[in-house]
Amino acid sequence: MGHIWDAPLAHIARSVRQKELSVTELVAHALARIDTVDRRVRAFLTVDGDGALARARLLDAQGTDGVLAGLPMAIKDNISTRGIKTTCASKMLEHFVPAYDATVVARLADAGTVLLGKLNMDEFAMGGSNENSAFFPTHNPWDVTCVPGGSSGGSAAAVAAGEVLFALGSDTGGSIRQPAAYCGVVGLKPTYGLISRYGLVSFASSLDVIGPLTRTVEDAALVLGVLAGHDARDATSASITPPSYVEALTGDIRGVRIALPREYVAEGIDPDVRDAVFAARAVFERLGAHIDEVSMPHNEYAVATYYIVASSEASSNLARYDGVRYGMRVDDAQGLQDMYTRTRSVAFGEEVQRRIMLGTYALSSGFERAFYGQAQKVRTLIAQDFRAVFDQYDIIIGPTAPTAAFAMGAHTSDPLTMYLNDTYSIPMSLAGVPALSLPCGADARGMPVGLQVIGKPFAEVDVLRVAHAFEQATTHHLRRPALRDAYAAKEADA
Amino acid sequence: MSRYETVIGLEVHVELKTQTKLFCRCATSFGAQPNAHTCPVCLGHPGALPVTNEQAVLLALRAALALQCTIPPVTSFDRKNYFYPDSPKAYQISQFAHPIGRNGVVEVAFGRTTERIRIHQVHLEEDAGKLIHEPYRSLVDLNRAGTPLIEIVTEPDLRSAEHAKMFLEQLRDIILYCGVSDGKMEEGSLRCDANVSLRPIGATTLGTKTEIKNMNSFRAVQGGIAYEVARQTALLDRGERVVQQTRRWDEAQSITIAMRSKEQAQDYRYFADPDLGGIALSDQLITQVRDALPELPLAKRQRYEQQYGLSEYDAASLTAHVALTKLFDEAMAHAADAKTVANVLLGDVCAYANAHDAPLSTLPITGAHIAQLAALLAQGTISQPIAKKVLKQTLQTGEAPNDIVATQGLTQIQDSDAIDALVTQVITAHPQSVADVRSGKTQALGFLVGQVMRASQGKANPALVNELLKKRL
Amino acid sequence: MHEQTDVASHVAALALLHLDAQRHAALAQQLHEIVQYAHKLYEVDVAHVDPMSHGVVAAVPWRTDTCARDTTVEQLLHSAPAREGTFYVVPPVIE
Repeated sequence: MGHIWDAPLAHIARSVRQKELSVTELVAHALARIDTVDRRVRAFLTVDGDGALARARLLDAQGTDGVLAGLPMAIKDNISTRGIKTTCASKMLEHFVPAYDATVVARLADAGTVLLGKLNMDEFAMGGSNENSAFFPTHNPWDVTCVPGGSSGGSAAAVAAGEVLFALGSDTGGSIRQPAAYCGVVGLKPTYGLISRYGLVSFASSLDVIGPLTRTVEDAALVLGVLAGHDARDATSASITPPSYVEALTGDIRGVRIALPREYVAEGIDPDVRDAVFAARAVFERLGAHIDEVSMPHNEYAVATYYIVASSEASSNLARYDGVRYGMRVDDAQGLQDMYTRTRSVAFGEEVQRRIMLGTYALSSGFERAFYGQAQKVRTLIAQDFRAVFDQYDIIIGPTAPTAAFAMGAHTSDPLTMYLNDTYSIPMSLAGVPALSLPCGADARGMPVGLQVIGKPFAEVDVLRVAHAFEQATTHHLRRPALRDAYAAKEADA
Repeated sequence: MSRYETVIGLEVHVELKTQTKLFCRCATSFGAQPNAHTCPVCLGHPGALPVTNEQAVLLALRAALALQCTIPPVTSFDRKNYFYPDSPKAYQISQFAHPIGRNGVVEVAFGRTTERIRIHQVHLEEDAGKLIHEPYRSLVDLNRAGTPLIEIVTEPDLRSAEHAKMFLEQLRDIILYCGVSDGKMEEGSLRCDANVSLRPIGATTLGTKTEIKNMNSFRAVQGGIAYEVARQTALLDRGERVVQQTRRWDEAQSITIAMRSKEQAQDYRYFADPDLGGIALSDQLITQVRDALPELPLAKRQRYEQQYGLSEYDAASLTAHVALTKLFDEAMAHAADAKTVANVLLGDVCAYANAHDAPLSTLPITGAHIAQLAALLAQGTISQPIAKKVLKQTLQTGEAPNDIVATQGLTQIQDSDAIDALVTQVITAHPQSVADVRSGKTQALGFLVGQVMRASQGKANPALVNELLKKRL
Repeated sequence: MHEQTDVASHVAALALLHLDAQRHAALAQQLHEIVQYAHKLYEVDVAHVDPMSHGVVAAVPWRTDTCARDTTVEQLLHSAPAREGTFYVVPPVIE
């Protein structure tokens, strides 16, 4: 089993379709890995072993011709799963069992996958370290004293540790890409509107997207093909017919015009990360692409814009957690107002309360009437920066994050520092453009470094082709964390 | 005579006639078990998203156009944030920045004069749920949450409680004509709040206003505003000031009661709902909806008077009900006599509907039927009493008057010889009555006419009967 | 400092959050710092710029007016913290 577990997803699914491989065996193997590894990684909030095995036996009995036939995977715990707890890593939803499946969950099921469980995250997707989970933090499989990144930290760690074949995450300002970079896997934030948000618990509705975390670019292309496409339940879902993403992976990027914004490799970036990005630039040149440095003049306003826009939307989106219809409610409340206030104060964590406060401030007419509107206008200018560059270039590259994974506890005391850490992933979210992070090296500690490949709206095909060509020309994606190999060794012993 | 001018603006909520809620596919019908018509979307469950109901937008557009509003190229939704258990998401999806209509006007007849009442805006929004308050707890039913409404906000153009009521009645008629809503105040599909203030006659700035809620009938609207005008007049006369607040009309006591002070405006933190994109309203769509608008009540009423020479009373009575005007217009399309059609509709048809407690629209009669009946009468083919019989049968069975008359041989007898034969029979059979008539007791003549009619089974031409009888006596 | 805590109190009241004294001060300070940082947005000239309320959108604006349901009342009420029959129950509204 060890060997096939490392194969491309397309290969594994083909073996399942052709009945050369049993889904039950695959799932049992995944559960055994989770059993061994997750005690140290803590990527899972819920493991649905019985459900997964039952589903596997059903698929084996009935056969499946899905694109992702038999693939064991897991989903970030802010994506609604009917009958399986969806907590958003919050005490507010600790016992909440949704009555419906997110559109992506239904699409993955139709494609033949097996859901193993739900993955840890920063509470309501607010944070970049997974330390804001109300239950426990997830650890980085490369070094368990480091954070896996966030907010999709559980998703990135589970893929890196080999507990699942792929995972779903969500990205509002970098929450797929940054943990993918920290954990040395591939994370794709697609164009806003390409994948239905129906069932994704809203953080900032105008920024939230769902995307895959995988081991390779090819795997990302395969999973994206299943997820993408219009959904009538999401009014912000684009009415386009997605192309074949896998066919885009030609390996040929000769003549592709690539821009590297100066602002992405300026002060504040870790020298190891900068070196890795420059090394990547050399690889692209060797592959026949054309690279120029460009400028994104409104980049420096991205973090401020993001924290005003995202927090404002969040303050409204999280108002529904009031203890009335579902979720936590404090006992012994003295009247309605007391119930509301104490429930929300007890059940929301500190970071969530901080963002609600910030967003409420920004929207309130009592303080700065224009704050939110000002941010929305600056957002337009940031999006225009991207359009201007994309008038002349096909692709933008840059680092995913200013550093590799940091030690647990290092940043938590200072929220503003934590926010500024998102500086390279936020602009793409504001502009709504697709961006993919893939491994491009390591820092001095050996922790993975991520390269970001950014494309025009709905040009995932270009992003994937360029990223794939880079991946095939390098060996970064073949490095595996020791903890993952430890499982393989254990299995060999047995 | 009061020293103050009354200034009234109304906020009218109209429930739209749709199958489903504004942002989800739950049914809008009521009377069900509490929370039976709810789903993850209208309950605000985590991750559920709204999608706009096309029909609700089209109905709102129709209403906005009927109220002569300016329509924006793009209309969009905003969130109005507030916490209350009847609001599942803790925000109401409403329209703030780009409502579906602005700067409209309604022409309203106040007796013989017509005034233009300006409409500030028309916007779409979702309704809230219902709370049942008990001493130690409240019960929440969200069946109504998410039902589509339009809110029609007038400028402060109304000057008396009576005018406010008349305006509201005529606004309701417009809404009914357009098929936008059931417009039933008692059932809550039409709701009205009033902003009332006073100012010294001649002043141009507005005085401090109060908002009156819970007026559940047209009578209540008039009563609530009149009470409030009197209350504010008394305050001002005593040299006290009016406090800006929301007051509730208490029907039983016929007074308004303060609910909460509104000196500090609520901070609703409006912003564009990022779950819903803007909706482009193309010129083509606007033209299409405008062209499909029915003729509105006031215009229709004036046309009935001018084109058909109907009395003010008949024109007003006909236009008071959509179903009546429909039948009238259909009948007139067959070139019927207007006065006859109006008499038939306002007389026997309405009486039949009332007697059977059946809405006009459910009766099997058509405008073509009425036109036939009118023609039969005008041509003298049938008599008035036969017409009543024929109409009754049409109302019961939906058979066409022409067919009824033909198959039952009800054609009026115009033949003098045939009638004269009947007259001879009656005179012979009732010598005492004949003697009475001859001695000057004219009411006996009526009896004899009736007997002749009866003998003819109602088919004899009554004028001819009269004439022939007189000749013989 | 006093002003900062006042702002925090007002915002907390709007958002229905209760802050105990110690967290109140810390949050007030953090909110202040973040807002100060975000004030750099006012450096940007946005005189002729439209606000952007969405990412990229090429969406279908509406749906047809037809009923559908795929959840039952019981499934939905299953999550209720307190219920009576099919009502949700909340503590009394004290105005």
